[in-house]
Amino acid sequence: MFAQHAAKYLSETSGGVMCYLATMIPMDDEDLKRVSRHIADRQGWGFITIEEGLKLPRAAKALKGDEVVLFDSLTALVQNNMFEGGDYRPEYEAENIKEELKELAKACKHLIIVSDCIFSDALIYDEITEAFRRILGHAQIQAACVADVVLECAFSNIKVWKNEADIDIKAITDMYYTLNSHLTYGDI
Amino acid sequence: MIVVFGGAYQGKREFVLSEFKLTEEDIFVCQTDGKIDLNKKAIAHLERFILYRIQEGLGVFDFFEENSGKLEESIIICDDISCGVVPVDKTLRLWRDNTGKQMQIFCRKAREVYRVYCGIAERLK
Repeated sequence: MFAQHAAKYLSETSGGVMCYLATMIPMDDEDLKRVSRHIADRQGWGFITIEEGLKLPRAAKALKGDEVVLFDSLTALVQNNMFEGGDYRPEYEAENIKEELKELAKACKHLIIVSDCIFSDALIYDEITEAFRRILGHAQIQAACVADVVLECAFSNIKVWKNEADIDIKAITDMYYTLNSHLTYGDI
Repeated sequence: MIVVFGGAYQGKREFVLSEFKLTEEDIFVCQTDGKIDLNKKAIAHLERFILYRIQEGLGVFDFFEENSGKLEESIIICDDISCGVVPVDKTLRLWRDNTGKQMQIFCRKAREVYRVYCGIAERLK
């Protein structure tokens, strides 16, 4: 949710069009429900939606240049590419991710990349899951290199790791906390 | 001692190589076979060494206490395995617990402590 507020803030301050880059490729009912919930979350926010779960250059081509893009998420993109068509593709290493993210960022006004932290638990994973962690880790480091701003969001707490664009992070967090003061147990 | 920790695949070793001007030969990378070279400038994947000690029923804290002199100038690199759900498996639970406690000891002793996130290092101490 924080990223939606960041998109709204950047849209208001830059005059950009809010654009949601949806990456989930639904595989079952649970996925479809999650997609429905995400759509409901965004209702009334003014997002246009681009659906592209595999190829970032295709998403870049679909943009006009005046959008504030909320790319949700790098995790899903890596997963979709690793298991394109339902089969595990061990050859996928996200080796072009840095250039693809640069291209996507150039194609719009602002780009917000959402990812997940799956790197700090005490479990021994199977080879494929471990490969997923490794490739997502690589993709995140590349994303952090490309980005002007890197934020960690943990239980609504925001830690600024990098801010080279002089973005007013406090203004975004203030907006986020104000609008989410109604959150109750069960909200996700 | 210098401690560098962070989630898996976050760029910890790359940070150590660059920040402390080391080469790969300066770093001993632990596997889960119990081997460790305390004479290397840096020891990576400490959590794997601890996992082996636990799996084999060997002590963790005593080992590092007995060898504390050799580690005074070492760079310790360790995955942060503390943030997930507590594992159901007893060995993994002990692994998480002992790694956390040993890292607390190291961080207290260390003159510098860094956390690495997405390739970005933050000095905590």
